[in-house]
Amino acid sequence: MRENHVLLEIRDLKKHFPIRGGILSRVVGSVKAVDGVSFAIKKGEVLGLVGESGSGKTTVGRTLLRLIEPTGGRILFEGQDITDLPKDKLRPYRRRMQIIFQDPFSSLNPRMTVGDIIAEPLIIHGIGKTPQERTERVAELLKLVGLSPDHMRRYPHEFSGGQRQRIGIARALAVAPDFIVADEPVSALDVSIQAQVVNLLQDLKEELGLTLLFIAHDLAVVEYISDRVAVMYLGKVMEIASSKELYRNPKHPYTEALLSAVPIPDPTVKRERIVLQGDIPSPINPPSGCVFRTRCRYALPECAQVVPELKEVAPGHFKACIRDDIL
Amino acid sequence: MDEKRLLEVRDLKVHFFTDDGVVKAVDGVSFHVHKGETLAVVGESGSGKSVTALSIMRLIPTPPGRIVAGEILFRGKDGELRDLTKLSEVEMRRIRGNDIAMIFQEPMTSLNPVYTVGDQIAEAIMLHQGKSRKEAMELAAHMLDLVGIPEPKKRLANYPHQMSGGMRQRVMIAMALSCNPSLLIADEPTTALDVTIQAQILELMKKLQEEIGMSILFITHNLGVVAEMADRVVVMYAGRAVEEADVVPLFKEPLHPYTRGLLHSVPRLDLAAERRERLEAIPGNVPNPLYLPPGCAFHPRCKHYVEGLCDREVPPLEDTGDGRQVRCVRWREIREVRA
Repeated sequence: MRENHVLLEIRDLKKHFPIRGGILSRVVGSVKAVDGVSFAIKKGEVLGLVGESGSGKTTVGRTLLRLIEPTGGRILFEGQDITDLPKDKLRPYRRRMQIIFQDPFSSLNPRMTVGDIIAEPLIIHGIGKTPQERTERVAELLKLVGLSPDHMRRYPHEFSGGQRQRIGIARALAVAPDFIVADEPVSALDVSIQAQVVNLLQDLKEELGLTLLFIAHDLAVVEYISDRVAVMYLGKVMEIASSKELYRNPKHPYTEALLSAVPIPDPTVKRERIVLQGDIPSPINPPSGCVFRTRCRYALPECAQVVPELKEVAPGHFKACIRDDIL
Repeated sequence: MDEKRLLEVRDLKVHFFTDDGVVKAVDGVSFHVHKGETLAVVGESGSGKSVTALSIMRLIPTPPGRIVAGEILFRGKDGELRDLTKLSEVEMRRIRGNDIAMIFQEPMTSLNPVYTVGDQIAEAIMLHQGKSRKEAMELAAHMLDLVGIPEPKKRLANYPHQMSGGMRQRVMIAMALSCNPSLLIADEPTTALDVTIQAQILELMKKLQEEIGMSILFITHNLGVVAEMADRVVVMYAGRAVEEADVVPLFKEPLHPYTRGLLHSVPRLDLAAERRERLEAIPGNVPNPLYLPPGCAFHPRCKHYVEGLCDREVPPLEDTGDGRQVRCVRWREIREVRA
């Protein structure tokens, strides 16, 4: 019964943002930020979601939490379709699904103490009846993320970026969620602090059995923390595989190029680099067929005709590319 | 100054006088750049790397900042040796653009949104080379072509917002190189860009350096970019250089505990097979520049810290005898233990 192990699944998820123009603000087009994304995350698994800016990875994270409403597709949490649940019915699911944001500076209210910030989700979800119970829980959470309970009475500006990110993590963990979307949680941090936060997430995952969707553009960090990785480009998934497989044996031309573009911190390593020409096309008017074909060195005329399906090319390894004769 | 050196910074101190106290953003930094080489200055936020770069261009906002001590010796295209800290604003303006050019992290904010890119590049050329507008526009088109922008003549009429981030950084490079500077200061030029675009820009910079033969002072926090671009590296922490070495020995055998910590805290894609080893994070936080720890500023985060030794005086930058420098009183012991 494989189904039982899947915690969260999205099927053909779409999010199109309307573009309005003219004096009547009529819809004149749409930005296809997410355009038919499907994947499933098993309980206890970390799925990495990588892509460059404009790939739609952040929109996927927010849409599957219904922080923004999808245009199409289904979202299933423990097999239950939550796509159209009204707000009051959604609330119990909200408790079980949390998010950690990229920017630890703008995601914490500067006028609230750290204690109040972490206690807020407890109040909203009615966990911890008395203030004292909540204070105990907050102290426990602060310790869990490597801060001290004394920090409760301080304000966010008194903390460094890395510490603030720990506060954001404590807030997400407050309601004991099963699933967390971590949206670029270390991108805004200094190199020496990134490792602290990555290690913390790794520990928490093991200790609390968390399931994570880890969204990032840093391929090395994603590889390090993820069990499986999905690569997005222009609103679509190009490839999904186990972290090991994807990095050692990329099957999609975009993944291949993306991996070869990452500079390796070792001056003695010399590699052949595939430099992709041009920029990511506009998601308002994406290329026909395969969206990557305009920058792909293996592109054929057929690539403009059909949108490639995500198909299994090896056990657990999926790619959306019609060329099976490469890589 | 040695003939081969283009730039030499000696004991530079740049302090910011704020209401809360004096921030010693750069506190006694010395290094040099050879002709045609790329020197990378690596550090995290607050290390003083960007302030060092801005001081060379004399672009420190005064007040609150001021170059309080030190020399910045630079050999101009005319062969004359000057101390940039002593030049008047008028003299400095002749150096900027002509001899030393700079590109910044955010290409959107460093371009003027209300002028076309052609106007902006041509302005620099007219100002520094005394060319007519027509000649300057032709040269601008040539520069855009050089940095790999398709249809350069048409693109001259574009405004910055009509271009992507990567394109804008190419425009910045075209503008910087339009007067043939002998030194290009690049302050985190690829940090705001996606990796595939970063790869394009790094390749472009390498190619142009080969063709033009300029020196590059590359400011970055990204160790991968350092490994790829640099000939030599200066590592900065809390306003001071803590280590200097050629790029290969630095990555092979970092001598300063901070350098070592940095190298071990980044996950590496090329070591995929042996992964799942825990990242060796550096504990603690980057110190507040207003309240730097006494002695070695890194001591509260260092695993080799010895009480009474590391927290007394600021360690001197020592020559190791093999062409490297390190600012750590325990570097000999640490090196022996590892060997």
